Amino acid sequence: MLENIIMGFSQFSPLTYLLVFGGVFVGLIFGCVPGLSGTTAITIAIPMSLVLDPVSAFALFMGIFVGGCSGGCISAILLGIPGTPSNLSTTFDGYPLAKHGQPGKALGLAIFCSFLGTFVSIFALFLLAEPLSRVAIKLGPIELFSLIFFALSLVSVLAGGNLIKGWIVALLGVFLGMVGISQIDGATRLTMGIRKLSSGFSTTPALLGMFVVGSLISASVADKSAHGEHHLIDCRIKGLGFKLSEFASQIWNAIRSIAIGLGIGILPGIGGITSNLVAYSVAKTCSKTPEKFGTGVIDGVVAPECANNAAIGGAMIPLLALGIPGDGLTALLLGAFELHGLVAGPILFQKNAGFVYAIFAALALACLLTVIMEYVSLPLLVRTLKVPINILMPIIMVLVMVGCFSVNNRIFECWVFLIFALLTYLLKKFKFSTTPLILGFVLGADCETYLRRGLMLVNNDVSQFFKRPISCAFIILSVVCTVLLFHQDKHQKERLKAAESASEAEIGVDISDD
Amino acid sequence: MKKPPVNSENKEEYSDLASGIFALALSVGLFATTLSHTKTFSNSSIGPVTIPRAIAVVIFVLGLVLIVRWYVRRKKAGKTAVSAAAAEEDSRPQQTEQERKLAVFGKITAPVTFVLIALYLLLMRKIGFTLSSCLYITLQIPLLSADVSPKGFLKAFIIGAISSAVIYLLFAKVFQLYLPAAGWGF
Repeated sequence: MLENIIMGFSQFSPLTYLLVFGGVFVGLIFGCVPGLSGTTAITIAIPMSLVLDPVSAFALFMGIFVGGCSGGCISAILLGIPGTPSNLSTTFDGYPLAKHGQPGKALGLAIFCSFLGTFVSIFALFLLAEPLSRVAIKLGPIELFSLIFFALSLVSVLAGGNLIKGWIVALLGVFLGMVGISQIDGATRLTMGIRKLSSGFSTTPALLGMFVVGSLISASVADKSAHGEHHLIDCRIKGLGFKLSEFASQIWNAIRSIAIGLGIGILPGIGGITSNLVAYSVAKTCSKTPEKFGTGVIDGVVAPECANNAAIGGAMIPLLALGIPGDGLTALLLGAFELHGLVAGPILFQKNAGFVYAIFAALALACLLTVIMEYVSLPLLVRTLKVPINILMPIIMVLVMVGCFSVNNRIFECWVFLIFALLTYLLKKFKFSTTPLILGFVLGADCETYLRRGLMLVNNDVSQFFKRPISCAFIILSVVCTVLLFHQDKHQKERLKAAESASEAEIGVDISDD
Repeated sequence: MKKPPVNSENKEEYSDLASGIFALALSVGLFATTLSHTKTFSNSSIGPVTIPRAIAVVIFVLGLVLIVRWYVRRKKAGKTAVSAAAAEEDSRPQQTEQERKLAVFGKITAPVTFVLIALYLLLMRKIGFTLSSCLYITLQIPLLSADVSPKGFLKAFIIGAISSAVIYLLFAKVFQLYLPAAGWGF
């Protein structure tokens, strides 16, 4: 393993080290400011990366990735607004802890736990990615189709919000991913006669459209006033910000949360956003004093920050080993791979092992730089929270347009951005989640290709999908997970309905007492 | 006297109907796009539009399921849940001038933003990247800030002019990326 890391660092030029440093700094700022995120920073970095070699480009992206995931805790704790959705749970206890006069402790713990989560997840990435890629390379089209089917099932249920709506959106994503020339027979389809669509929708503008416009609209003052006023708490950290004995009492919480973050990060399509919420809920359930959660307990800061950063390495595992993005940001990285003429997946380890280890090295360096820079540049990061986002976002939109245009040097890609932005907005308006759309779009073309190739291999004998053990296992897992999670969701809704009926009945008693 | 809480199912009640109709309309549109495709010489029984058509049909069926589910739930819940929601809405306190203004901006921000971006793209080819970006920022900032006074537009114009010039110089001159330019070169 050590020689692989050394191989990775040997790919670095002096510029690469600077780019990791710059990426971490930019990622921290973007992660810190509510409404921006590491995803937004990467969208701006993508056009800049076109002048760089792939190693330097991805070193920059890894710096932004790690910095972006870690920076969100600052606004979550000092402002009560999560810098990124992955820091939502940190606000539940981090902000109250800061309001009670302990912002330094809250921030110190959050920063240290972010580092710990990232470090362990990168270690897991080192250990798991290559063996997984060696297994993945032996998978045939039937197994690969079943794997994608499993990924889509999982994300439809877990991130779709509702089983039926999740599947509708996932299938829509798959459909949009199939636009253009069919890989099997070279036929142009689904283009509505638009010649520029013959190569399909470009991944980067489409993904940017799905991610960025939501941030733009929610940057409006009208939207913010609907969410209420938040006051920035001033903060200085002395030393680490917390006592080692305090952290020692959180060891099991940290280990459990890191495991949750890693496990959820590995699952395709869901990452930091889900992991921080799950880790917080589990920490509360396992705590001896669950009633104190929400009032400013350190458990409520340790759990989400360990989990959301552990999802970093977790999300990179399926991306590098299987070519399946672990979350939204890695879906964007998939587009960046395409732009630099690379294909994420098991072949990457065979043909570009040096490049892969360079990514690992960049992640390790970014992890170390992030914790140092967060402590050192905290006053500067806090100052960025005062930047009015409603002025910043239109400028970021222009940068996004530069990114979209530079994909193929044509304005058509900017129109693709707008179409996907409008589609995402409409889906959200009709209460659909868009995470399955992202995964379906990214995997759509491959999904159809593997299915058709698989059927051609077995002369359209569909039973082969169930006779082959790996394929059968994925299909059974998909069905079992879907049924289990559907029932769990149904029971939760029934419990909620029962609780509401109980409170209505109570009020009915109050009214009759009057 | 306490008011009865709104049942969370009320909020989802019409959401399922709207989502179902949206899914039906979407599936019809998706199916229509499969009607034109280039012919192939492949002997495969599954052609280039078989899977897309199957997906469109499945989305149609799922949309129907949403509508049926809405109907079944509505029959079970009856009208009392709906009137509870209406009672709560009627009882909200009156809004101030500022709150009314922000409410209006809250409703128009999204649609106007999309129109602005579309105009931005249409103008980009005609007047070039820099000028169209400046115009876009000048119009977008007042919308997001809910400040459409002359001072607000002037401030946005200054920010737009400086930022679009800096972005053009950075990407076109430093990074050597090609950006759309009009007859005057930028």
